[in-house]
This record gives sequence, C-alpha cells and structure tokens, in this order.
Amino acid sequence: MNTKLEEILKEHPTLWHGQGIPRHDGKGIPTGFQGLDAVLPGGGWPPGALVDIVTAHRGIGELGILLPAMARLCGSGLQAVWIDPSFIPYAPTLRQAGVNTHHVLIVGPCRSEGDIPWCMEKILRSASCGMAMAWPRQLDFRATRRLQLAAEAGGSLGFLFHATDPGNSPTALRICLSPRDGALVVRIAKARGTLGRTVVELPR
Amino acid sequence: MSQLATAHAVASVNIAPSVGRDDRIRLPGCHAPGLLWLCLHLPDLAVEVLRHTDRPAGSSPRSRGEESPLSVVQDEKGRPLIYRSSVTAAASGIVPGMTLTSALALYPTLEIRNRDIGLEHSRLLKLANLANRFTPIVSREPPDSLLLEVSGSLRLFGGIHPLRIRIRDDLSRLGHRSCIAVTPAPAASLLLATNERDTVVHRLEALRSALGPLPVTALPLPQDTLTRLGHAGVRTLRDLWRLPRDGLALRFGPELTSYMSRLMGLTPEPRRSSTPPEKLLSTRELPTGTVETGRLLPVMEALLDELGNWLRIRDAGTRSVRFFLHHQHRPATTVAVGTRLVTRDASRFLRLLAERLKPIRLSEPVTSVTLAAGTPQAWVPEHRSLFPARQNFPDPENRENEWAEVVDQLATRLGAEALRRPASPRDHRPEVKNTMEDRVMTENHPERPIWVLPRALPLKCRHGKPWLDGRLSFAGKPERIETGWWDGGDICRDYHVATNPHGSRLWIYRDADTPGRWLLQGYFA
Repeated sequence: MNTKLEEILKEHPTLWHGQGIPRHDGKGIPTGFQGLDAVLPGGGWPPGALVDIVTAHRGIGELGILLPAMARLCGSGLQAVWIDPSFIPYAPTLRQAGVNTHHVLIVGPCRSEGDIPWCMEKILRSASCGMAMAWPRQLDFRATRRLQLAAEAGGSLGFLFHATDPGNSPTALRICLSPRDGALVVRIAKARGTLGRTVVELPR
Repeated sequence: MSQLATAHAVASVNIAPSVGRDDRIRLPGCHAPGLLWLCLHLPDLAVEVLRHTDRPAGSSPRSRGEESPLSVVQDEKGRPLIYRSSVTAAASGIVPGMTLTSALALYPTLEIRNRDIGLEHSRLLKLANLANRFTPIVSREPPDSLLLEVSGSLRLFGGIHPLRIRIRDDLSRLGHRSCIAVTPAPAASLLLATNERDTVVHRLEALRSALGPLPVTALPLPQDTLTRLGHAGVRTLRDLWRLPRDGLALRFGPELTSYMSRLMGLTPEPRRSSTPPEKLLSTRELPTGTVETGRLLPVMEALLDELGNWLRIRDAGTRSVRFFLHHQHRPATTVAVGTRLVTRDASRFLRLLAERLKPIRLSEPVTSVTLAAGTPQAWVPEHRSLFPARQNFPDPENRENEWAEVVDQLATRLGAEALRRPASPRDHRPEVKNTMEDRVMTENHPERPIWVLPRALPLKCRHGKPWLDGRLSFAGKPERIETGWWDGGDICRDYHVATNPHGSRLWIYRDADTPGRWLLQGYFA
C-alpha cells in the first residue's frame, strides 16, 4: 500500500477498510482481556457507541467481561449506570474488581418499558457518563438509533443485553457469548470497521 | 539633594492653587457627588394596569395604534373627572381633568374605567422588584414613578445610555410606556421625568439650564404658592433662578427655597430603598381554565422568571419549587420539583417540570397557578473555564453540575427512590442491605457473584440434587458463612458454586439445619 493511501486512511478513521486487519489506533477502551483487545477494532470497546451483548443464559460471565473497563472508567471519575437491572449488583464483588462504587448508579425499577430507552438516552448523552448498561425486553430500530446517536454525542459506552440476536441494528459492535468448558467464548458477530468474524476464548 | 527637595516643594506650591480652584467649582454643601439618580416615570400606568387584566397571559402586547381608546376616571369633589387616557384617546383631545360629558362628546365610543389604585400600587411594587436587577437602591415614588440610584451600575451595563435603553426595552416588553430622566439630584430627576423630559444630566452645574424651561406650575408645591408665583410674573423655572434667594424665602415661604435647593442637589435627600419580599408566593391567572398540562408551561415559565429575578436580588439560589394548580371546586393540585445542586436557573426547573407534568392527568380545569419558592440558599455561580473544554474532557466541576442535572431529570421521572448506589453490606449475610461502609468485606474472601437476588430463591430438587434448567454440579469446596447470632438473624449456611448444563455459574446455599433445601443466592454473571 502506498504511503499516500495510508495517510488518507489514517485521516478518515470511519472509512471502511474491507478485509483488512483491525487497526489498533488506540482509541478503544481496553477491555482488560488481551485476547479480546487484539480482535476488536480500535483495540477495545468502541467509545461513543452502542454494543449489543447476546447471551442466552445468565451467569456465564457476561458482566465479568465489562468489569475491567468499568473499573477503568469509574477510576477516571466517570459514571457507570445500570438501568433497571434484573438483580442487585453486589457491591463487594464490584469493589474487588477495582470499581469505585461511588461512581456506580443503579436506576430503577422503571415503571414502564418506555422509561428504559428514555433514561439510557439521557445518561448516554451526558459527558459524565462512562458506560451505561440496560436489559431492554424490546427495542425497535429507531430507539436503538437514538441511543447510538446519544452515545456518540456524549462519548459514552452503551451496552444492551439481549437473550437472542436482535438482527439488523445500528449498533457499532455485537458480540455473542457462550460458555465452553469453563471458558467464555466471545463471537464477534459484527464490528464496525472490519469484516472479521472472529471467535475468542477467554478464561473465566 | 537639598536642591531637589526645594524644587519639589516649589512645585507643590505651584500646584496648590489649581487644587483650590477645583474645590471652588464643587458646590458648597453638595452631598456625595458621585450619585446619579435615574427616575423612571410611567405616565400611562393607570391605563396600562387596567388593560393588562384583560390581556390573556402570554400574548404579545398589541401595537398601540390598534388599542381601543380608554380613559380612566377618578372622583374629585364628587364629580368623576378624567385622570389618565390611553394614547389614542389623548390624541383626540381628551386631557386629564376633563369632565366625563365633554370627553364623551369628543369621542362617543370612549371606554371609561374607574381608577384602581390598589392595582397600580401592586404593579409599581412588582416593577420596583424588577428594577432591583439594575441597582440595589430602588425607591418607589407613588403613584407612578421609581427612583434608581445607578452610579454603581454604569460600568456593568456599559454606561448610562445602554442602561436606559435596556430599562425602556424591558418595560415596553411588559407593556409600559416610560420616561427616563437621569440627574445627580433625585428631586430633579423626578420633576423632569414626570414632565416627560427624557434627559441625562451628569453634573450638578448643568441642572439649572436643564430644569430652566419647565413651567413653574409643574412644581409639587401648594396651589396657593404656585398662583402667587404666577402673579409675580414667574412662568418658568428659569425666571425663578434669576430671583434673589432670600427675597423668595420671605415672599413665598421657606418650602419654596428648600425645594429649590433639593432640586439643585444642594441638600442631601435620603431615600428609603424598596426591599424585595422575604418569601416568594406569586400567582398568575389563566385566561381560560385548562386541563392540558402543556398549556400550563408558559404560565409556569413566567412565574419561574419571577423566581429567577427574586433569587438574583437576594444573591441566592434554591433547590426546590412548588406549584399549586388551583381548581374551581377541588383542592389545589401540588406539583413540586427539586434539584440536587442549588440553582437559580429557571430553564433547569422548567425542564424538570415538563417531565413532572407529563404523567399528571387533571380531573378539573386549572384556573390559576401559584408558585412557592423553596428556602433561598447560598448560591455559587457555575465555574466556566477560560478555554472551551473538549466535549469528552470537560472540567470536573462542570461535569459534576451536568451530571447532577441528569440525575435530577431521572429522579423527576422515576421518583427519587429509583436511584441507588450499590452499598456494601455490613456483614457477610448477602441479604442484609446496609449503607454503612464495611471493613470486614475488604478482606480476601472467596469469589463472590456480581448479581445477587433480593430474596434467595428456593430451588427444586430432583433425585436429591438441586435443579435449575438442568442438574447442578458443584465446583470447588463449600464456604461456610456463620454469623448474625448477635441480632437474632443468625445464619449458618454452606455456600457452593454450582454450574448447570447451560454453563451458568450460580451461588447456591443450604442451611445447616435443613440440608435438603437448596436456595439460589446469585449469579456469577
């Protein structure tokens, strides 16, 4: 590749590179797992974007993979918000993972299903928000797009947990999680900026 | 060295006379030469207050040309006489003091209203509170003038002319025509403004010529004195200036000369400053009753503006406001909003209100809205950085402020109890929820789950083994938690990490007393 082309590609990070190797421009928020950082474009969770996490069963380590990033964001004074979680996040566990629980906020219970995207949009749009997590039971394309735009505006990271693959959605990244012999298998179903459909195995 | 000292002494001697000359220019007995009094006169206040009650709230003032002619009458010696008229009525020749019959002869369709002094008084008080945003010294001059001491405000507003324009604009937005005169003497400002002279006089020496053309009849003196002055051939103030002072005192009494020296700013004239009310409780009527909450917002916005002004005068902020929506037959509906940080920003309360009003369904039309301000609290202005911060890296203080607003909005929609921080339990019992900081839990303990169930869930058993979406298998050794014997909530449990066929890792336990009964405590998510 000639240098001129490289320069242009570097100047426009949103330009799609086709089947290239994921670029490590260092803009991503490190996940805390080297194997995962290596395959994610940007070398971590995409900042200012939504991430779909698809997991059929709970308790397989689906939150564990977020804890290092949460610890890092809370450590820099940003907020980590849990929107209408199904259970109680256990403070000692969070603290053991290095999360400053003074910067963790739990919102809920929400009275109606419509409150969840409303809250998430408000939170993602704020520059004080590091990451927000939600477990929406239903979320249409338009609402997801609004959330994606809010995350871009606030430069924050939004995680949406799904039991089944939501299919076509305007999120930047979609990963599917499944357990295998005590390890967590992360399948990257979609990642903005790369065609790679990588599977990574993380130890639990 | 000594030569130099002598030269210096000579020089200072040379300077001395010029200093003395300066002193002579300053008039004797002149008090605080820096003061500047701005008189705000509202010639049509009597008419405007009556018009305002007709106008639906929130509508823009119509241009004067379209207004129907209106005259306000007041009884004098048992006869109703014209007190003030609207501009259109005055243009057709209706002047104050005219009888009702002659006014109607001039303009048969003239609208006549009785003067409402109470309404004028309360409006003047309201305007005095508004004027407090320009200077802390505002005194009311009933029936229709305000005196503002503005020497301290000139720098902030960029000089006297921008200040005058600003005051005039603010008043015309409220539907008031105004005359503004500025002089160093309060009596002179008042006299010029009430005679509708828009003048600015900076120096006391210039006052004589500025006041000169005014007719003597305009002076607020007993009618008898004015008549005698007229008989003596004194028509204007200029004539009055030319007469010897001691002779005037002898012929017309000391009131005239003492008034004249006040007019020239020679006698100090302390004014009582109008103070803002201690409590803010303001009500606005709605033009028509409504059940739509969206239509209440403009009225609330106007009330919040009033609140912002009130807080600014007190140099305070507040954390809560309460609105009472009055109905005809039912008790008032109360709507309260609160913020985390002390604020005086009306738009912040308005955003919260819009959210709070959404779910409210009114069963009966609202006729009026009352605002009650929360306790005023010390307010610290928002810090702004000199250089605009990048969006992802704002100042910590701005960020805190911005986050507080987001949290306020969430709390307004979901209720304050819907926002929590994860708190450490005081002891090892996972179900004990306590906000106290914990030292014991910082010790190294075996792995703990991320999700904890608010109440442990009993598990089914098949073939003597716990079951959840499949048979559970245990991993590792059990952990015994035995605690709480001191408060009656004693437990003795064996906790296990279990896995089901789907790969979910669970935190389950059984009581030592009932070994056959398994409960789910949490998920290793």
